[in-house]
Amino acid sequence: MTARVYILMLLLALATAGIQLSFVSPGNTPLRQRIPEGFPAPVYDFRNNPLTKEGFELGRRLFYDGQLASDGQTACASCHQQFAAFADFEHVFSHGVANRFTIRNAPPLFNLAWHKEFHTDGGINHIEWQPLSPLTGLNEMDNSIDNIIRTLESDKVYPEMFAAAFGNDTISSQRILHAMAQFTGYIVSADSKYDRVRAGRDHFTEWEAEGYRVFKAKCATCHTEPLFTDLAYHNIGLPVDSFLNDYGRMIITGKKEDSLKFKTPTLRNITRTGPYMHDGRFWGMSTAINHWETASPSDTTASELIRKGEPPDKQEIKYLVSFLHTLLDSVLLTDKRLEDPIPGNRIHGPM
Amino acid sequence: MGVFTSGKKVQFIAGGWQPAPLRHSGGHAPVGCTTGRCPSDWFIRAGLHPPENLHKAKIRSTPIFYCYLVIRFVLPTFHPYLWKQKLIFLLVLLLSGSYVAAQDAGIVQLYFEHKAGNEILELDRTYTNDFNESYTVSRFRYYISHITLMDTAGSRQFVPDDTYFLVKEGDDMSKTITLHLPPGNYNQLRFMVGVDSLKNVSGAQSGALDPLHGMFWTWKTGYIMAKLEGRSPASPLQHRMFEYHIGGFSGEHSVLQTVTLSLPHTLTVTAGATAGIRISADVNKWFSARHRLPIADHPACTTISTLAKQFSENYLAMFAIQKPEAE
Repeated sequence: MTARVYILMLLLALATAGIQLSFVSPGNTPLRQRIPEGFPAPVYDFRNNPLTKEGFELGRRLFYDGQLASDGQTACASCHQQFAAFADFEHVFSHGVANRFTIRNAPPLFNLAWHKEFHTDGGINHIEWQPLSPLTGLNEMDNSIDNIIRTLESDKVYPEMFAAAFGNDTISSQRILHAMAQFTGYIVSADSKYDRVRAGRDHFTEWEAEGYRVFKAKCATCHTEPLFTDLAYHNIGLPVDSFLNDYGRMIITGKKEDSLKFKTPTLRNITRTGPYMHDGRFWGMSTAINHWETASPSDTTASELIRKGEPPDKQEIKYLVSFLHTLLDSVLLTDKRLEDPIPGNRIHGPM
Repeated sequence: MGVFTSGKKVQFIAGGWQPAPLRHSGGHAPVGCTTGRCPSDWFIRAGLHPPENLHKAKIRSTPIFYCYLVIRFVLPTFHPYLWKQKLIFLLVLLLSGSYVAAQDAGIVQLYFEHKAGNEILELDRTYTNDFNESYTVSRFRYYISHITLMDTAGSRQFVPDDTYFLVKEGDDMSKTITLHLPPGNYNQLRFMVGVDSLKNVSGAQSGALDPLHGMFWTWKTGYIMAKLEGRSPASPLQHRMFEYHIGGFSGEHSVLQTVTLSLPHTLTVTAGATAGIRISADVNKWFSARHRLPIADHPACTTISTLAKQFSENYLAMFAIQKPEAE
């Protein structure tokens, strides 16, 4: 009996030593999730996917690696470029493998840890599941999970990176998805002029201040601060495109009342993420702001805010454009930690 | 009759579910006991691969074995990734080792046999359903989870740990599910066909729930709970194919079904011995059980819908405790 107690104590001591060692040994660096001042609690808090430098770096490399696509050259970053706030710069639809096109405009990727659902129709219910859609989509990267795992296993750097991130070099879909969520979930945009003004470190110009006033009166119901989206689905009366026949949220819920509803896009970095709307139908910011004009008056299913709301007048739109420029986050666009880590990387795009 | 026991010790089987021999299956198949008391489960929860024969009481009650565990598995993996879980795992392992050793479990194996009417189902062979439509099957898969055995002693239920199994026609290993239960007498079996809603909303999964098994929708998150594909001259579709991907985990269109089967004879589980239950699953029931769903009228069902729910209510009836052919 005493022998057993002795062994237990010895083991506990060993275990404690092991923990202490792990904190000083290189390669296991916990990262802290950034929750900007004034932001709500994130939906995704990495509880089941502990955020580490190694996991983040692995996710970052996967994000920029064209080997994940069936053509070996199309990466996530091909259609989500940092200088475009991780949207697809000046593309109505993005280019998948073999000259195929997507059917929706690529959304920007930041503040994703605050999103409960993904895609403009909200079809994806978890940030970790999200990459499977572009990875396996025929008109995007057109690959299979087996094939991706095989590719990564035979790569020179990945087994080591998986070992650094997860303890051993097993490569599984879960680990790939966890690593990617560590990268995409870590991207935060909260360093725009608007944020500086909010923190009392900067001042709006007269036009920007006027624009902010109009914004609060006419836009903020759905483009809720500080994320500039209420993360909900609305039909703003845009007529359905007869080629795409995209009915948005209804495709997911099967409910008639969800017809033509799409998730409110964030307005952060909006000056870099055009063209606008779920199908990129508007090129100019003023046109997009003025979407009231294209709403069909006969469409009684459109949101009351559109049908009964008062559209901004011409001068107000100019003020709004000024204000929206203050939402550009140059820190995000130039953050070295989010840059392409692969030297001499030759992926399709960006541009 | 439907239940048999044998005194033979069985080798530790990988949780009844073995991944297809893919190159990447290096370490995270859902191997483990399902009693919730065996240290192999703690290994899995801690993200480690349990050593073989861990459930054997003699080995795991020796102090040297503990030293081995700590040095081999715990120390090298102390790392921010899950380190808290690993510490808790270690403590639990140390404190309850003697308890686990004392409570040796018996083994129950569930054997799934696939049929088409009275015939044994084989892929690409022709069968006839109740509407006289001939058909062949090329894919037949379904998830089994939340397996519960009811004790004869009263209402006491024994629920092995949350473990998910994908039963696949054409993969015999997948048709045997091994459970570790405390000794006792059991007379009812209950299980869910599908994957509960929690696992559908909790992000990336592994093992039987790995999306690489082709049982996961990527455009609208959720597991395909059961899948039946094949061909029939009755089908109006291209290649005369029919395809049923049945899913939906919430709301009115949830297809999650719980099957309750009474065992014709009490199943006695004794420590170290193996008892088995044979369960048959009749594909013909997909077309005609509670609802009449001939292939000619319904050659496809690949979305969450009332039709999917009807298919699930049909396949719910496909399970039966099977009498062995000879005993």
